Amino acid sequence: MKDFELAQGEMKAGLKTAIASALLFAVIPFFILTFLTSMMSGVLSPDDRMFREALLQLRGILLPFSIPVVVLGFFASYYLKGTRSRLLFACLSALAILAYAFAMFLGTDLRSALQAIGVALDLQLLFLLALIGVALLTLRYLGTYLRFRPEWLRSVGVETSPITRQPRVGMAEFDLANGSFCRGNASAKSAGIWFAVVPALSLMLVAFFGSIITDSTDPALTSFLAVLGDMAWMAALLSLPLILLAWFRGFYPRGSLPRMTFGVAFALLTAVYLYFLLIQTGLQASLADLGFVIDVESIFLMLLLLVAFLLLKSVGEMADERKNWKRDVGLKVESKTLDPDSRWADLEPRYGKFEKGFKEGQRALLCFIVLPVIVLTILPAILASLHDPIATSFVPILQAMIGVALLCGIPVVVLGFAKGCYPKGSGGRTMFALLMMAFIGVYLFALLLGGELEAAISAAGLPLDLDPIWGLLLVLVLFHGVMDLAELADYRRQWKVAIGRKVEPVQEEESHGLMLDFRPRYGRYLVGAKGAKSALKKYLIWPSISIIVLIAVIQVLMDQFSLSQLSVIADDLRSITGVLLIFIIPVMVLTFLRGFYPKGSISRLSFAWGLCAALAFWLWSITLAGKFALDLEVQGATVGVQLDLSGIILILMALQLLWGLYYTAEFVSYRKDWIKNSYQPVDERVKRPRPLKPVSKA
Amino acid sequence: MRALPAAVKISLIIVNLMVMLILVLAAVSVAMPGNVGFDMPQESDWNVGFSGNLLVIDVPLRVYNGGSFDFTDFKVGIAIDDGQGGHLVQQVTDPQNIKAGGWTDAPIHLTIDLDTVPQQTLNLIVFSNDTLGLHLSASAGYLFSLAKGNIQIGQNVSFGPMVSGMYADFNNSRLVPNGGQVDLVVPFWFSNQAFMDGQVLTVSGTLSNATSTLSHLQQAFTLPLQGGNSLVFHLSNEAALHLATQPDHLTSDLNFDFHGAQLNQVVSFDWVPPTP
Repeated sequence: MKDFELAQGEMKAGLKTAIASALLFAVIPFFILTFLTSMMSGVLSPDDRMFREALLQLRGILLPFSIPVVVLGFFASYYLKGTRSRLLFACLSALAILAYAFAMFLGTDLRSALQAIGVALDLQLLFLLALIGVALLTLRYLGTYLRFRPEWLRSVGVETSPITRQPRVGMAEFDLANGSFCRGNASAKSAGIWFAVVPALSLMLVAFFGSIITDSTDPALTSFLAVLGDMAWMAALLSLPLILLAWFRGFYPRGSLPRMTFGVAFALLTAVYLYFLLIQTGLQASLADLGFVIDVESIFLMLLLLVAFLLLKSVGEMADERKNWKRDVGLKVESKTLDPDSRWADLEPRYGKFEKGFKEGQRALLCFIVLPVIVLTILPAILASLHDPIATSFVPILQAMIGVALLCGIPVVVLGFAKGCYPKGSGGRTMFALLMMAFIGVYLFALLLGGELEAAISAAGLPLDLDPIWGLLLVLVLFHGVMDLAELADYRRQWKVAIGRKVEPVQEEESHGLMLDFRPRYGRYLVGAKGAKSALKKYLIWPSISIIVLIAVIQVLMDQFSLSQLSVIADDLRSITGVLLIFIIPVMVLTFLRGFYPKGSISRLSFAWGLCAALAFWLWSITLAGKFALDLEVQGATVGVQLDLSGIILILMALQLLWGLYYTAEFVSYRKDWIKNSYQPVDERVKRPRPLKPVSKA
Repeated sequence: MRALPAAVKISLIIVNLMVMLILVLAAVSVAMPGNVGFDMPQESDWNVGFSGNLLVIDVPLRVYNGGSFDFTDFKVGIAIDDGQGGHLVQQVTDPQNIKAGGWTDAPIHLTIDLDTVPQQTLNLIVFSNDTLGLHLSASAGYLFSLAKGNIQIGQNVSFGPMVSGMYADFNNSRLVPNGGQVDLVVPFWFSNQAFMDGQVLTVSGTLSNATSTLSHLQQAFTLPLQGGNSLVFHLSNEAALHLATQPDHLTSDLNFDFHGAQLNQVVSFDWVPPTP
């Protein structure tokens, strides 16, 4: 009964939860309902009066149902973790939340209120989602209890003996004692969010708002909205076994047989989930009725590719972690001897991880095959539904691009897999990464279809030159190669240590002056390169592409409406492109150096201020000092307009310079800790060193 | 992120957002259609007059500012050139602030010193018409003068005539005794623009035949003509007798002068003596 002693609690924690619960379940809903009813008070329509009455009744049941949630929530948080009292009150509070959801969603009040204004919201589905949420919450409480129970028992002086088991493999691995409740909960929560809440809620809301804003007499539209509602239900129901499998997958440790089994089962069930969601619900037919002939089966097949990688990731993880798991549970593991000084060590696949390879490959698959193919499948259907000859002329081109994306995407995915397999800091990873960049360049070039795309856009009336756009994107892609080299420079030493290669010890400094902050040894190339890439995109790629498109649009206006005066604007835009090109190198260098040096160093502070000044000057130059002029001929009269926005530009420049204050505050805040941390980045996540593979010294 | 840099970052973001919000709202409020307007009355409601040799024009302009901030230093400028780039008139009204959220009177007061206008141009715009370059401009600051705008409209327009239709009807001229003398009275009329009423048009000239000058003329007309106006040539007794008895081929050489603008009109006609 010690579990239930009031001394075993923290008032502050209990009050925090109680206040949060009161706000969430009582105060905010109360104010929302009061606001809605007061809005309706002046309306005399009988339907609206019914709506108001129903809302008032709903407000009336708020208090009786929220009080137990608040009180039980208080006790659930008041008692210490690991006590039975906390578990009991937590489970009771979960039940109270369920009762609250039941009263709100399945009671007659909200339904009557919505019916009064002719709105049909699927309240049962909302209750099902609430049920899933409460179930996950209960699992979390249980996990916390199991995790902290021994600790609490020790704290109150109860002796607990650790459970000792004989390490066994095979079916014995499925023993529930082998897993971690908390990890299972985290995995189940993630599955609950991505397979239940997000799809079901978004589909339901689209169907709901669609029914409000569209013409309800159109049978095709009504049928489509009904299909969306079915899909929402399908997502919520099918997510239940998925959440269960995800829980078990997360519950068991990496490298164990049950984790792989549940991982594979999870992937297979995901395929079933997608099949029922996209194919079985009749989405394709209802879209066709609406006039959008979209090949949903192709989209399903593309998503299946992602699922395949999910499955492979589970198998790969098993292959990668099996020996580590066996070692962790005390089983003997035979390890092969690898020579860390071998000249082929960089390309040695046994240092790699399949799981990470499949993860990287899956990312490449998503970016270069799945998403492009889905977009290129949907877009032609939308264009064809417009029944416009110009829009229809793009359909064959977009369909041809699907083939290109598939053909050129495959080597990118394969190289992405190879890159991901090798650990950071290895030559193999860098080599495959650079090859991948080259193939992405080819992929982009192939999407231009040998000028067909440009010709089609020109035929549609927009003389857009795609070559510079392609060139800019190629620069961005190539810069990823620079980032891969930066990653190699940063992680090389770490990789050498991990495979057991000897490295020269770091020479400690006898004294550290301010100027020594500028030594490259304190920097991180990858962080700097990431900053430089961001600057490249922000200050060159996207502005330049926008300017190219704008110039094409201006050209169209000049040609079609004989507005030759607009050439001034086109010239201004061209001069802005020149400014972008002039500034990009110093801005990228400064951004790189700012990111390269760690927080707390005078070097980072100096380059950050330099960057702020450069960006302020960039702003001044790109806006042409805020002076704009335009001369037009209108009905025989010359109209000249001059705008002088230099005052505003100066304010924006001052704001840009003010960001230097942020870096100064950062310097002040991090300086001591950076020095204390032996001049290593303070925020860098410290990973436990673990050998990449069982290694014995040669 | 730590508390101090986080606090500075949040403060900077808030400041940035506020400044952006102010700029966007200020721009949107002034860029919305109908939020800036001018009420320019018809030309007939302009107050145009002369003060000595100065042509004074008062235009009761009203400006509407529907933006969030005052228009500062609002000025209206007018410039007239002779079409070849030579400036005739260049004037800018005194700067004034146009309050946000309503109409403000911004009268334009212009004076044109006719003495400064080149003779040929002045002659043309008073008695004939000329194509002149008219350049109107308006400029103002906005948002505490952080943004300044200037708009000019230039157009070639036809000016004049201020005085037109001058006609001396020599065919209906007649000899009229005037005391001991005889005058040759020639019906004469012309029209003028309303704003010139009260001004004086001077006519001078001679009447001559092939051999001699018969009369000199110096006459002033206050505008507008009221009707029944005539040019009166005072004749000597000899000239009067000649014209009373002999036909002749006469030439009238008239000079019209209005505030320095001049027009010369030479008319020849066959004089037939009146039948007794």
